[in-house]
Amino acid sequence: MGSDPILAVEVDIDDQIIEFCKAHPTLEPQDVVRDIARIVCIANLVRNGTLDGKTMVLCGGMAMRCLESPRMSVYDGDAASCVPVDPDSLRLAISYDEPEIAITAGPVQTGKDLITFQPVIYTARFSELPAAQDEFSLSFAQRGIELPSITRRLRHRYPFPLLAEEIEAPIMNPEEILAEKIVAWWLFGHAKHYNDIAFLGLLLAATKQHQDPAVRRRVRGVIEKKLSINAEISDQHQRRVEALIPVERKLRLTDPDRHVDPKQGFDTLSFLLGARPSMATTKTSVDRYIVPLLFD
Amino acid sequence: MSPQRFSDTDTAVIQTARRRRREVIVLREDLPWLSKYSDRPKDMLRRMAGRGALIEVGAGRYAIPKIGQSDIAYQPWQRLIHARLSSHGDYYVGFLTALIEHRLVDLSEPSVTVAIGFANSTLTDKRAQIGGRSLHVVRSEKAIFSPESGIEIVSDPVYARSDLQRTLVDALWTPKLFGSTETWATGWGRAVSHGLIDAETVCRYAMVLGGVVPRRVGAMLSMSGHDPEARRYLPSRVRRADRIADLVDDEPSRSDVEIDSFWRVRFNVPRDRIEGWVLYGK
Repeated sequence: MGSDPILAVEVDIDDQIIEFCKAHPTLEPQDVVRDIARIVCIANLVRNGTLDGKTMVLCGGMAMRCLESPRMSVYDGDAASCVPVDPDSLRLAISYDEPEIAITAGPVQTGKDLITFQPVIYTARFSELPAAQDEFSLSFAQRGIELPSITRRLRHRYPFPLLAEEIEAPIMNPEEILAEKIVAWWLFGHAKHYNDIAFLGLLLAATKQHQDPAVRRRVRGVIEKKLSINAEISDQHQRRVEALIPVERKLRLTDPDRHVDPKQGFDTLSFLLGARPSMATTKTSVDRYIVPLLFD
Repeated sequence: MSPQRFSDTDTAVIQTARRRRREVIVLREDLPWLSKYSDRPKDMLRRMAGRGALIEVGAGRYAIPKIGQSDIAYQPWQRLIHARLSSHGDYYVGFLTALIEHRLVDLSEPSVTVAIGFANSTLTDKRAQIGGRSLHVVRSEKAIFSPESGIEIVSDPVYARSDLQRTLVDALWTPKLFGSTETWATGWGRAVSHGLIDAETVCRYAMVLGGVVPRRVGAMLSMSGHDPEARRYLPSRVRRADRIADLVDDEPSRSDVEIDSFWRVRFNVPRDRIEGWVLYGK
């Protein structure tokens, strides 16, 4: 089965993409073509065992989509590893060729416990749209995995046929994703992180997990672990972690405009499905589910 | 979408344009040979566009679509922008659009932001549309459109764009064209963490833009770990200013905030916020 094509698109896929984008004004057809290439890349990494759920998991925006988040990143992909990754092996694992698409990993950028293939180049043979030959990036963080991964269907969320078969992807545990997002919001203050925290709050609340003492304990523990990992990245990071006294942590969630102004950054986010959530909705979720989870 | 239809004359016009190596028909320039096919070439081109045989770009310009692909989405927007703007004079695609094109932020933008060096009220007085994208146009009379100031001609498709270093500098010149402070500061951060900043070039471009831009660039380079280069490549005279400059033009000026006394720049967006966005680095 390993050599079977991943993609199963219809001949009028370009028309389907164009029609889809007309109904979703924040998306351009080239974003969708690139997104399909990223989905194939992830599917291939699952199929060839690179994303195995034990040493490496899908995280970031693509993992959030598997949890049915409507927000869409348009260029990056993220994975997390609990063992050191070998760039050459990864490059081979990323490279993929089937009749409808070819993917090749380009040069690697190395950061502190993070490597990024940029660009990952693809040729989408199924498309005549401008992004049929384009690129995206794929990052692999080597900062550990704290909780057992979960498996979710790789959800593309497009209304047209795309994958030849369902792919079950190992994704970072949602509690760990939440901890990462909270730490990122506290330290760096991007609107996308506040938005994702609110989404994960609603997800926990749907099954009352936000009230579960074990969930609270785990999330709080992972947050502390992630903060300590961040503090080791640089002196600047360490200073920012040390500034996060308890009252400051809480204020950055309950009064996001004091930390930064996420309203402004929200205008730039892309959403695959549904409307952009209002700031009021987002803040309500954070106040109602996340703040008690962390501070009660 | 409606299918393309080609009359015999349409086919002949397109074949002639192709023989003349034209990807875009410009009514004013191509009038002599177009007149062989119609007494009223302007009306002929409009009718062709109505049939999907051409794509109307605006200002008497028509792009030639591929057979079977009359939808504007099949055309690279860069090609249509170049077709529309290049014959008027200097222009470049820049600001948020360039930040995205250089992959410094993970965003999509349904409009295109350009600077033009010529007067054209149809572009600047109303929200123009080219190739289905709205155009956000800013006019500048400064000499900022040359390769020496960081404007490059990209090939395939051909269009003029600010290079990566110039895009970073433009953020400190006209930040309102970058969506939000978070956006351009995050772009700076990715450039820093990926080792893409060429401090000498950034400083040179800042001097071309002049005014308070070099001081702002100095402050940003210092924050980004390039303080020695900023001090080396930005002449000391840029700091001989009576007034403290705000780091970000379109944010409110505040008196209760940190001042970089060396560069004489006021962090009217708190330094802590900017540092966070830059430090993220992804």
